[in-house]
Formats: sequence, structure tokens, C-alpha cells
Amino acid sequence: MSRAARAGWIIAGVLVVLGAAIKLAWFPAPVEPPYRLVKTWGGEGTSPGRFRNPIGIAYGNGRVYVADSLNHRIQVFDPDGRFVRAIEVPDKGRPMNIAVHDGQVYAADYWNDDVLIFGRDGTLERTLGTPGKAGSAPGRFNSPAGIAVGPKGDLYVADFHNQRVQKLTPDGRFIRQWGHTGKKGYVEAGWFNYPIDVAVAPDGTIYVADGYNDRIQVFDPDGRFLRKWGGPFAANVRGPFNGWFRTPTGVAIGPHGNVFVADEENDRIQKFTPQGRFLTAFGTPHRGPGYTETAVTVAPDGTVYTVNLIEDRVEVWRPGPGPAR
Amino acid sequence: MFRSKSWMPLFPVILLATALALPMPVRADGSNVYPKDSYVLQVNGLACPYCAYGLEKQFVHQRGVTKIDINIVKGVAVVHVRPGTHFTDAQLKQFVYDAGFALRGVVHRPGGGRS
Repeated sequence: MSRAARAGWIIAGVLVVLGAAIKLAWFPAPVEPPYRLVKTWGGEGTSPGRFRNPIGIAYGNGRVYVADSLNHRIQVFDPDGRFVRAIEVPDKGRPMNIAVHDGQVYAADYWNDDVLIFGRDGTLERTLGTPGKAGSAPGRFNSPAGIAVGPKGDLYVADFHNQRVQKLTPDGRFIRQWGHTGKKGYVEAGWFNYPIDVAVAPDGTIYVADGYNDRIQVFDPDGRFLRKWGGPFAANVRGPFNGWFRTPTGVAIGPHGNVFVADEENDRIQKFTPQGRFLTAFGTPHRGPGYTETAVTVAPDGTVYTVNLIEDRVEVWRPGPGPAR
Repeated sequence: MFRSKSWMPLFPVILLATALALPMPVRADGSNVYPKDSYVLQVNGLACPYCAYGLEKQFVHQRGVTKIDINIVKGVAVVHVRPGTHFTDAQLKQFVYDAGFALRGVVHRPGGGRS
């Protein structure tokens, strides 16, 4: 074989190996079947059980809590979708991603730049930040979009327009932050481009839906960056492929530590291992203008609840074969 | 004249003329019918409610702005203003940038005109 022919074979071999590696790394196949849609409830409206822009959802105490943003309330349902009660959000606030911990309901009020904490009976117990006034000082917020509560009761707030995630004590005192206040457009690890939601695993690991960077970033309980995923190099490359995102707007941890991401502009929920390995995807394709799967939460039995923004409804998903993609 | 049916062929014409004479509804869908006192902006990157609310929040605090309608899918924002309110292109660009987006163009402004 001539030297040129040998070189050709070597180049071809390298290309094949490279292609296979890229396919494995950036275009993974699902390893689980998609979840199936088993129930929906809601529809557009203002009466109990109906929604106008449902944007956040959380499961806790055997109840499903839905942030009904343009109705300025959080609605509470039993797991079968029966309306239980509504929690009014003051000052025409717009609750976004929400959390439930020890019976209390935590809401990021994007419109009024504060975080609201409601008691078991739905009364407002505390307000963090300065209502109606955006700020960038520690403990202040500028369009808070998501919130999570850590194992010790510490709060984690996705501070959307401040481009950071703040960690606060249970009574709202500033502890630390991730990201650089007000600096946007950066894709380096630990920087955010409009963070939208945050979730905390039982071991304290923090997962951030880095919205306009189209990726998930992960930090250890001490704040150290661990990893990121979402498209090639998780560097703000968006797309419809498995493991890629087009504006992740919600993140939740499942009972086995798996990570569920609401991949809004792809109309789907993606499920990953804690290390970011793609497992499966499912969701309702949009039938007209707009997008569907905007937020996600997982019950202890593995049932997944999502909000479908454009159809103003809650969707209930269970593992198994079915029509979901 | 209406006792006979000789006017019937004119009916579609009358209907069309009436429809054209009626005020058109406010639309944020990128079509070319806009309210008189409004800026209609084409914005790159509008996609989610966080985007729409952010833009709404940015404009609603500006003096003279009465309301904002946003069509996420078309990437169009209709900013309703009081008569006499004026924003320069640089101001509009800055408002949109501060909300996290890029202004692609101004399709309509009070009194007409585009850029």
C-alpha cells in the first residue's frame, strides 16, 4: 500500500472514530421509554381550577401547587386534580417557579421583585427583598424567577435580571451567590445568562436552569462548580436534539436523584441522571403558536406533573410506553 | 329602493365598505394595522414568559406608557403610549436591551413611520 493510500485510510479511520464519539457525546439515544400522559386538568380562565399563564409547579405534602401567574395566585390541588384552595399573591404579583418545603410555599414573584413565603394555611408569613423595587444588593432581587429550599432550609433564588443565584438563610439573610451580578452574555462555567430556576438534591447539590445559555449548571453544596450540560460544550448552542435545550425554564429532582428539565421551546421534559446523562424525553407538541412544557415537578412515587403554558393546563405523566415522545 | 331585491348585488360591497370604516382591533401579531398612539417593536429572542414579562416590566415603568401587548411567537411588542409621548430609537433600543433582548426594528411609531 502506498504512503498516500495509508494516510487516506488513517484519516478515514480518525473521522469515523471522531464521528462516533460526537454522536455518542452530543446526540445520545434514549435509554428509557418516554413517559405517557395520563391526565390533564385546567384550561384558560379565572375560576378555581382554571389558569392564565401557569408558569410554575411544585409537589409537596400530597398536594400539587400551581403558580397561576396572570391570575396572581397559587392554586392547590390534590394529586388527581381536585381543587383544594387558592393562595392569593399580593400586589398583583406574578408567581413564577415555586417550591414547597415543610408545608410552607415559596414563590418567586417576578413582577414585584420579591420572594413570598406562605404558611400551611396559605397566609403570607414573610416577604424577602423589597416589594416593588428591584435591587442588586445582596438579598435584593431583580425579577426572581425560581426558588428552591435546601435540606437545611436555606433558600436558593434564581435572580433572573441580576444574572445570579443567591443563597439565603431561612429568614432571608444573604449567605453567598453564584454568577456575576448584572453581567450577561457569558458562557464560562459559573456564569449565568438569565437563570430561571434552581433545584436542590437531598445531598445539597444545586442544579440551575441557565435559561438563555440553554444549559444546566451544577454546583456542590459549598458552591464549587461541578459540571454543566446542554449541547456541545454547554456553551449556549441550542437545538432540538436529545440532551440539548432551547430555553430550559424549570428543573426538578426525582425520587432517585434524576434531573428533570422543562425544555420550553422544545415542548418537552428531558430526564437526565445526576451526572447529566440523557435518559428520555416526553412532552406535548404545540398545536398552534407558543410553547408547552414550562415547568416540572416530581412526586415521591415518580409521577411527573408539568404545566403546559399555551394550553393553560396541568399534565400528569407516568413512566411507560405510550404516545408521548 | 329596498322593497325590490335589485340592491342585493350591492350587498357585498356595502359589507366591505362598512368593515373598512370600522376601527380595527389592536393587534400584536406583526400585521400592518396598529393603534395610533403606539410603538410597535420587532424584538429578537422573545420566546418564553420570562422574556415577555421582562419586556413588559421594562416598558411599564416608562413615563407615558399605558399598556404593552406582547406576541412571543411573532417577536412583536406593541407599546401603547399617551398622546405626545416620544421615545428615540436609542431609548427604545436601550429599554429592549435592558430587558435582555435586541431590538430588530421599529415597525410603527405614533404618527406613523418606521426605522
